[in-house]
Amino acid sequence: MEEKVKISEPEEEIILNMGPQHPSTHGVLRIILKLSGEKIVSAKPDIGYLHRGVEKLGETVTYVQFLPMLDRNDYLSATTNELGLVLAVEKLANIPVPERAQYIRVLFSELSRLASHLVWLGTFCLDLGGALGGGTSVFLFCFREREKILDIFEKMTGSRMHPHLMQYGGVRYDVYPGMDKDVKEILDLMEERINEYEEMLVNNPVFIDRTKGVGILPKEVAMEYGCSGPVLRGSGVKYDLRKAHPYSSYDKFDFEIPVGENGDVFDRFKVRMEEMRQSVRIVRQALEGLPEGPITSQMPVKVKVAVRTPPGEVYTAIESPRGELGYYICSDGKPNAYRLKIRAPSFSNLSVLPYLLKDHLVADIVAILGSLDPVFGDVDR
Amino acid sequence: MEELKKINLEEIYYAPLFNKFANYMEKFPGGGLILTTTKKLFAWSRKSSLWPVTFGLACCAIEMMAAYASRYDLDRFGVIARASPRQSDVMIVSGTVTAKMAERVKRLYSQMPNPKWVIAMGSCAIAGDFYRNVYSVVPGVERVIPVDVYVPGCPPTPEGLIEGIRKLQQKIMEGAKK
Amino acid sequence: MKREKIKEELKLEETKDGFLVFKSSEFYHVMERIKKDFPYLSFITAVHFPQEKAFDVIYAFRNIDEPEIIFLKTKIKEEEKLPSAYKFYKGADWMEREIYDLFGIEFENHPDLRRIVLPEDWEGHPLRKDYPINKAPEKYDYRKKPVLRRED
Ligand code: SF4
Repeated sequence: MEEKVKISEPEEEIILNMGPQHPSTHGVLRIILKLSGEKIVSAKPDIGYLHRGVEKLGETVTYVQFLPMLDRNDYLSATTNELGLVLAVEKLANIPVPERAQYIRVLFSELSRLASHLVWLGTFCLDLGGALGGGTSVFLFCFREREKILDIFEKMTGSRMHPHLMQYGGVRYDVYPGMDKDVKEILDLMEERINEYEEMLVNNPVFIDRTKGVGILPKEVAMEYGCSGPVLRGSGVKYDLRKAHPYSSYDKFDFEIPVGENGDVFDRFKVRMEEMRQSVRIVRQALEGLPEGPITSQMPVKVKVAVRTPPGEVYTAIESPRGELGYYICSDGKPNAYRLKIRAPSFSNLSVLPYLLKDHLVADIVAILGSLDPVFGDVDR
Repeated sequence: MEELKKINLEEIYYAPLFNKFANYMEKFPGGGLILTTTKKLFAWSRKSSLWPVTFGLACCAIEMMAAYASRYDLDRFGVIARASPRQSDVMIVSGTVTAKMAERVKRLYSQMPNPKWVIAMGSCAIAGDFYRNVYSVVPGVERVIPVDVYVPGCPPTPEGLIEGIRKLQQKIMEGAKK
Repeated sequence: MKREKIKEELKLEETKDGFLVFKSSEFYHVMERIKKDFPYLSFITAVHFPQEKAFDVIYAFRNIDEPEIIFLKTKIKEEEKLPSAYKFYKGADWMEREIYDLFGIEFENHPDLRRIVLPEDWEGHPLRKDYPINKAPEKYDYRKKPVLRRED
């Protein structure tokens, strides 16, 4: 790494506009870069190209109507989105949840974490692409596995991406007969494939060159910016809401929290790879320990005002694949929220981008941005 | 000798091609020539290599990516994503168009060379889905740029998108018949 | 528990849902104290009450080493300004910009207070209760624009 190319200092600074239509911005991000030669002097992200007013929408429609809309928020892992809101409302309205439902929630949250990280790995390598010599193949491999996971979602709920699985007080669908066979097949496959991908990338000198020592995020900075999830853990902070504040019977599962050391792009990559392995472990345990019993404590919801909450305020947070996904609800006793705030993990994670990009080369932008794994439905809401 | 006569010469010479393009091309009687108008020929070649601009907006973009990837493999239809609008023929609007994005969509569209087509993928691009009343959302991309094919669904499955592309191919060929 | 200690030290009131209420005039004092024990800023948000012409501004901080969360709340009038927390937590930069954009609360000493998600020439602040959901400035109101069709 010492032999970095020497760049002579040019006299003039130029302003370069990247995005919103750019194949590597993972959606609709615009970055206004001030460059001195190849070096970035300052970067100003411009977000909001996917601002759909979800929070305002959440105040106008009822809780029951709002749940399927939330699927579209962080569209890579729809189930965790629902889980967050469902937990918040259940806490406020004191709705009990049967244990079987909790296990099914965990099972599908972890499956969607797997699917989400697969998309991340695929697109991340696609962005590093040309230099990697076969970045596209990782993308194709990852989507191949993801399709298999989505098949389970489709068989279970009828939809591949936006399942609308949760309901207040439980889940809407019970597992279908023969699901454990399907899932086990995928888990076995995944265990093998995760190792394969990691070997393939870690032994690639180009990949190491482009990720090691790039975009270092120190612990203190990560905490000040409110980074969470793999970004925070990549910087060496052992903090996972599933362990710190267990929800939905996560305390009954046995898994580890991977952490990085240096907080560079490579560490964040490592953490996510390890997280996939842990997810496989959790899914296995959830399948084995799936208790018998009802899947919901409420009647199936038929009317849109079926759920009401007493006046009050509540905040619950869960660990989505991107980090702390929280819902703050201020209720005045109606079937819809008075104010609904979504604490989006991608939003805080992305806010550290100007800090990270400073003094890097233009080519590093895609590596750093990819390692933050923002989803723009989540950033802009 | 009897058997030889039975063999249809047409089958030998042009069976694979002929069957496929019988609708669009005429055979020169008795000869080995295929006649067509340049219009039809161009339309045929255009429909066989539709290059969309890589342009994802929201959730539907993920399904679009899935359609490019392993299982569905849009390359089979000659659909290969291009990063630059100047090299592409078709724009797949995959996701919610917001007021802030609308100007950019329009500009991207105007940067594409003619002839160009637009596929509106998903309820958001068609009519705004359940965001249509929200302050910052454009209720349907057709208020910004004209649309050729609508693919319904939220999100449409990759099969749906493939069907949409086939519909667009049909439309291109039918346009050439006029 | 650190939260109880802070509550006693700063003599804060607690609401029935466990939010500690502080006066906006004591902002710097409170933040300085919080920063010592809760180095992680989780989120900032606001709630609008049009009858009282007031906002509730809510802060949530986390302690990472010993998992704990603390919620603070302050009430301000509509035209009042609030000091920025950027001095203590860098993450407040974008969060406050978002609040400024959607609620119109201004923050003093903020390094770069601009709109963040909406275009810069947008009028009004959508998350205020008196803002109808389908209102947009003329230029951005595509609901009123005609549908374009292909000529052929
Ligand atoms: S149509 Fe549905 S899936 Fe597609 S972008 Fe809109 S909300 Fe997302």
